[in-house]
Amino acid sequence: MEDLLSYGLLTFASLALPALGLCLSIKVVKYFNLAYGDLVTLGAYLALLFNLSFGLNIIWAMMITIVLTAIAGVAAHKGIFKPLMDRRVGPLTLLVVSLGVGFVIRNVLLIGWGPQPYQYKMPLARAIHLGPFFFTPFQVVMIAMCLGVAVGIFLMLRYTQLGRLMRATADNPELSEIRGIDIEKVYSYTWFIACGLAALGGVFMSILGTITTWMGIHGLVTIFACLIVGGIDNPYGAVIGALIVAFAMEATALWLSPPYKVAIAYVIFIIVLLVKPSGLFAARRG
Amino acid sequence: MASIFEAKEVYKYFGGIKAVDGFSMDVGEKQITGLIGPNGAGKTTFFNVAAGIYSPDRGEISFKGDRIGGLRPDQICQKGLTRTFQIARGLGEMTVWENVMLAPKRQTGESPFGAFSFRQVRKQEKEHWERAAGLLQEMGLYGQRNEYARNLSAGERKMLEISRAIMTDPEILLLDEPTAGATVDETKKIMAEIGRLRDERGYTFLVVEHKMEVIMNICNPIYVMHNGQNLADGSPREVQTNEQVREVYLGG
Amino acid sequence: MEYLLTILTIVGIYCILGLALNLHFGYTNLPNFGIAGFFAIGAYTSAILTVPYRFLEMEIFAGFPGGVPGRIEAPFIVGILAATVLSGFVGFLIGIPVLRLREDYLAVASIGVAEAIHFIALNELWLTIGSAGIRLIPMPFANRYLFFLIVLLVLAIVYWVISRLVRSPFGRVWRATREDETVTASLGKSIVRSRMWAWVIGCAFMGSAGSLWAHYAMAIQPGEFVPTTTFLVWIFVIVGGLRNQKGVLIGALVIIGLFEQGTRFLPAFGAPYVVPALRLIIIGVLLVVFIRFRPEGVLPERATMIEDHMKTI
Repeated sequence: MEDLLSYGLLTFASLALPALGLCLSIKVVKYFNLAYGDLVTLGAYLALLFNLSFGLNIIWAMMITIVLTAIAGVAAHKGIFKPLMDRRVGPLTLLVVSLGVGFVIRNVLLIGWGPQPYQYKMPLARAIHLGPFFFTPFQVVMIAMCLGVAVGIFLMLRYTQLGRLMRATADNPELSEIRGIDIEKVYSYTWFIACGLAALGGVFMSILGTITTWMGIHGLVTIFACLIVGGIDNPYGAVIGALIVAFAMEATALWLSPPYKVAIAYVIFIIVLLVKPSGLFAARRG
Repeated sequence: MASIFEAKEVYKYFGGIKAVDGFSMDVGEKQITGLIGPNGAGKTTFFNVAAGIYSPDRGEISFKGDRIGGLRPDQICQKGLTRTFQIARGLGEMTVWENVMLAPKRQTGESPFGAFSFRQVRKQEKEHWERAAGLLQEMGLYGQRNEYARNLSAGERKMLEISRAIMTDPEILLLDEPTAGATVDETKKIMAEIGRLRDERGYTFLVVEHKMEVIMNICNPIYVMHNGQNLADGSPREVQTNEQVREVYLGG
Repeated sequence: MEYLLTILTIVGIYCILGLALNLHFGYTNLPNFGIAGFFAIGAYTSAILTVPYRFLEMEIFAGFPGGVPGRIEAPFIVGILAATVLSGFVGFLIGIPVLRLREDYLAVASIGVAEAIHFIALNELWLTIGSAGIRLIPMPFANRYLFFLIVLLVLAIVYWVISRLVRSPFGRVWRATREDETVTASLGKSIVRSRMWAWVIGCAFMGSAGSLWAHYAMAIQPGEFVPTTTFLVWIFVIVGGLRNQKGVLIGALVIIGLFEQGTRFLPAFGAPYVVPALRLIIIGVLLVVFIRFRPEGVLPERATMIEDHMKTI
């Protein structure tokens, strides 16, 4: 049981931020960007670059990676997606293009690092008991960071001007534009944040596991499962969804069998998608 | 005159807005009934309910004695009720001939197995095309039969819309502003066609219109709708001389 | 010569996939990103039914008269027909909930479905032998040249069937539905039926392609039925021309033929994974560029005149 709590919380920590990021992006720019998973992978590999090749401490590597990935994401938006959105193509076209972008990112990383799995260079640590949980100090930091960042994002959404702009644009892009809001800037900021979250998620996932070029797309379905449980454009729902999915996955791994851990995420995703595509706790009419 | 289409106390709400607020009407067989009312009175919404795009929140709609409230649009059309749209929705990426040939009901070629009954399909296509070609000629669209529908003028698109509706061989035709955007000539043609179809083929019509000369000339009886409710109904003269109607239309 | 035959056989099989996707997305606006899944169903069905050794060792079969069905070893024709039917049937089951979704949700759902199928292929060892894959799948007549002719034959059938359907009144309904559902419904056509048929027929043909693949490669593994495969098909259909079957064939020839296979003969530079990755990068870039600048592809759809229609119907 304490295994379940610990693993569940760790998996949650690695899923919550990317789920939140993807949720924000879908909510504001209104299309599924399937390259998101590969941005997670990119984050993981960039951190690897700084950690392994440049010898930086993992924390510093993480910081730099977040910024770089965010910049890369915004660049991709401005270079590829914005021109298409200006031409008013539908959400499906954007989805197909994002698939292409994802392929490119994934294979560039593949050329750079090869298909073998990697791990960060981190100090060895022993797990300690913390009440019902069983973590290494670094994992505690991870969970704390995750919660801290999530809370930070929620506060931003509710109380800052950017947050209000994001919500307004998400609710009604045309009206917002008429009111003088620079939609393009809102999109850029949203992507910046979303990609930063993706990078963070990638680093966390890599700390818990290994780094491979396909970790992102495998993670994507899991992340989608979190979103769809929580309501596709509901940021709070995304985090709650991550909690539910994470524990469902770990429970399955412990009580059924490890390979089915990923399967349960797929199952949840497909079933909810077919039953209520807007998500279980959809923010609005969906 | 037997009533072929009946609406009894139909209500349709959208959130807080009462688009149709207890409207009733009766359309007699082989009559050309008119439905008028100021903009926003709820006429198009009523049409949408009648045609199956919405279900009535309350009240009953029946056609030939069967209740049709809640049926899907394609089911209602199969029963014999065809409607046109206020803004002509031609299938722009298809040609004029494809638009009209799409319309006839129960084509053998429309199931995947039927599509391979070559002789049947060929026969039906020939029959339908004979009818369609004649219709297009009357509407003055024959010359453009191979054009993409999106290349037609507004008035031509209206005529195409009506032609298509006629090709479904309905028993009742609900026309939503059939002469909107049409030239004087085209309007005359459409009016003549409506009359002819009623006389020669026994079609029943329910027409929503804004142009008074169209309504007063061919429709009898006329229902007036205001704020989703019945305001008045009767013969053209009765409606024209009705005090409330004149008030609502401000001298119309 | 041998090598050319191999390329052409593979191109032929991909052509079938492309025509099926064109049916789904080009003619009916159903973005199917689960191609790999139906491809896999076809391949595995055909393989399981035709391999010359004992298979399907499961307790539930113990009750069968005669015990566990040992070798089924059915002939190829049974394999491909079963693959087609089963793939179509699974398509039908999946279509019931999925076809109602908005286009991008449908795309995502179909990805999920393909991944689920991939997962089953990888993990249900009793059915698919997992990652080791199924081997010794017999090639009919054990002759590559004849097999190529078989592929051509199936391709011709698929081409002709789809062509006929599209030109028929049924195809008119598809195209009308694609453009404006409300109007099509208002003319008495059942949107649901028309879409479901397109979906099922397309999935069935993907299954046929899968069966051909299994018998050509003579061994299959789950690793072959991945999103990359789906993606490749999308690329050449978009590049070659959506809604134009000839365009799809050209697209397949160019992309799959030259790219996938031809570059196998370039000197591999760097480690063995570099060239395949480069190919995929180029393909990804190609996709983005084409959608940006010429979304209708190389050979766009053309209108038919009524006079020609009446002659060919």
